[in-house]
Amino acid sequence: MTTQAPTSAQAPTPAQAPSAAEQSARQFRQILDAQSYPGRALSLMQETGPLDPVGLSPACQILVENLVNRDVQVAFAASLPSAELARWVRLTLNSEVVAVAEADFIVCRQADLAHLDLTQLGLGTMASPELGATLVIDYQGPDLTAVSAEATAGCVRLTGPGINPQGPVKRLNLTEIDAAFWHQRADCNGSFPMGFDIFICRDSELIALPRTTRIQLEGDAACM
Amino acid sequence: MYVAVKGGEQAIDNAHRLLAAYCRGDAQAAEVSVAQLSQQCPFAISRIMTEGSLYDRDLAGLALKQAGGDLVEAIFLIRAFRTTLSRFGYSAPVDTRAMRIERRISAVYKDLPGGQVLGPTFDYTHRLLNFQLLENRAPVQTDIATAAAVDPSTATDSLSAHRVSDLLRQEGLLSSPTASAGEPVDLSLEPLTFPAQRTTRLQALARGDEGFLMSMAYSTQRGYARNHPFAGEIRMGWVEVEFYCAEMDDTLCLGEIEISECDMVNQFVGSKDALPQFTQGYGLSFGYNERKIMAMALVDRALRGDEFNEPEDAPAQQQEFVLAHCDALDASGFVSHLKLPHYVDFQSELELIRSLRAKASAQQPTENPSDKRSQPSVRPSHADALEVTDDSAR
Repeated sequence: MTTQAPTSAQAPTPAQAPSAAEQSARQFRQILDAQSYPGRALSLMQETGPLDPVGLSPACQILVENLVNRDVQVAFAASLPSAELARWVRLTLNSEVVAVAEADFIVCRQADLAHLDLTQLGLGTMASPELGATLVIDYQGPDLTAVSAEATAGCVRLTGPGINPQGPVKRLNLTEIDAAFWHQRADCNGSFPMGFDIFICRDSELIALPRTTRIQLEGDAACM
Repeated sequence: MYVAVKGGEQAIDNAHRLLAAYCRGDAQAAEVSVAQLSQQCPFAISRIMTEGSLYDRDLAGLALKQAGGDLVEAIFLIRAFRTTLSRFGYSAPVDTRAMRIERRISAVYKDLPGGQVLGPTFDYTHRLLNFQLLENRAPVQTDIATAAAVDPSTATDSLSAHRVSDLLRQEGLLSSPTASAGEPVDLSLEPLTFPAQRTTRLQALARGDEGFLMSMAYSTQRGYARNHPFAGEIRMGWVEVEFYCAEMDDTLCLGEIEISECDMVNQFVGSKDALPQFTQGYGLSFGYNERKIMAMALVDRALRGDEFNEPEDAPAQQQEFVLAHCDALDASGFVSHLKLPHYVDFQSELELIRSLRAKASAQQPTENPSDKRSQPSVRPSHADALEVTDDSAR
């Protein structure tokens, strides 16, 4: 399910393909909106032409294309096609692939999370928390937002800034991600404002889980 | 720039709609298109591109339309959009010697090689309103190529071959810019710090508000920096932008952009060790922005006082004064922030001023105590209460 955030950047059904500048602005706006509304799935589409196949989901590829450039470093987990991605990053983004500890963006699949040492991720500093890394999970699994109104094992419940406390309970179906990951995330994000942010990409959808979002596993009393 | 304003959601929504209606004006008048603005307001477009620091005529036209003609607001829109763009890389330095020239004048050599090319200029207009434009009867100009040059016989096939500054430097008459150490600071990424190198200063001045720079430049001419130079060369035209692609190990031409460039030739300096030489101020902008580049060149030269051991006592010579205040967005943001609610700050000031007034009134010698009681405007203050308490304790 895709929920469109109300933004002025989205033109109502364009009659023709948008210009590159317009598309770039729309995509960037969607990424910003995703961070403003944690847990909300937003569509990240390419309308100016087909994407070059690089082994990432469309949302993940568009996200990286928008946010990685010569001043921003990216790392890819082992399960992703490293040679093709390195060439793509070099040619299309004019950047270089680096190790996880040096990266501003770390792209992985959910299977990689068990091997990923989150303590290596940059958390920024108290003076510059914006230097904290961003973990991009190219998620392959069932629809994240397809959850029942009742608490279901494996689902996570989200609270925090950008989530209406009076609105319906915000849940995500993240059964493919092990509970240990969320506990490690909570440890890393313990010294607010330092921490790292998460984007989850699934097909053409994008969900943000910024460091401010508290995550509670259904059936687990602890809030992380 | 301060933009965060909290308020009633409905009121803000209505304000947006009122703004849209205000900018649209009378619906009987045809809506202006972005293409019309981009093509028919080239000077506004040039200023938006220059101070917005983004070369895109269509987006500048869009910003101009969205801002209802408010140039600083349009520049703000472009700067905000610019921050969302991917920073792919740095282009190679532009070679302005290879400019495809549309205008080129010099106030120091009448018959300079290549000739004087007036190009499109307001300089010789009489500043009389053209009432033909009221009826949309602007003449469409064609076949004006030969009208561009004052004296076509002096023009060469390659107008770009000669720069006045090069001619002066060949004779050793003009000082050469000193190379700054290391890579230049990128002002888009690094905050301005002082003292700023010339490369940084030029970046700030290029984005600086035209009005501010013009006033600063004017002040230098009027004596607040002993700066009354010659316009060595003013040129406007098209230059190629190139990018070195490491993957291909080759330099690619990305396209042409229109720019304006100004070389000012200033008073000379010399010493017992160095022969006297003229000095230079430099201005560069996107598009056609002549007033801006001339002002920029004047201010650039004024800020070079330390290089030539000049006294720096005029405002235009003070780096912090000029550079910290020349950005239109910084300036308008800080001025505009006064619109934000200051209810609590003002309340504390009110408390303080009432207290001070009451205390001062209480201390004034009064001939008749009944006079004091007849001043209802002065409210009882905390200080008064203390005095009463002290008296009663006594």
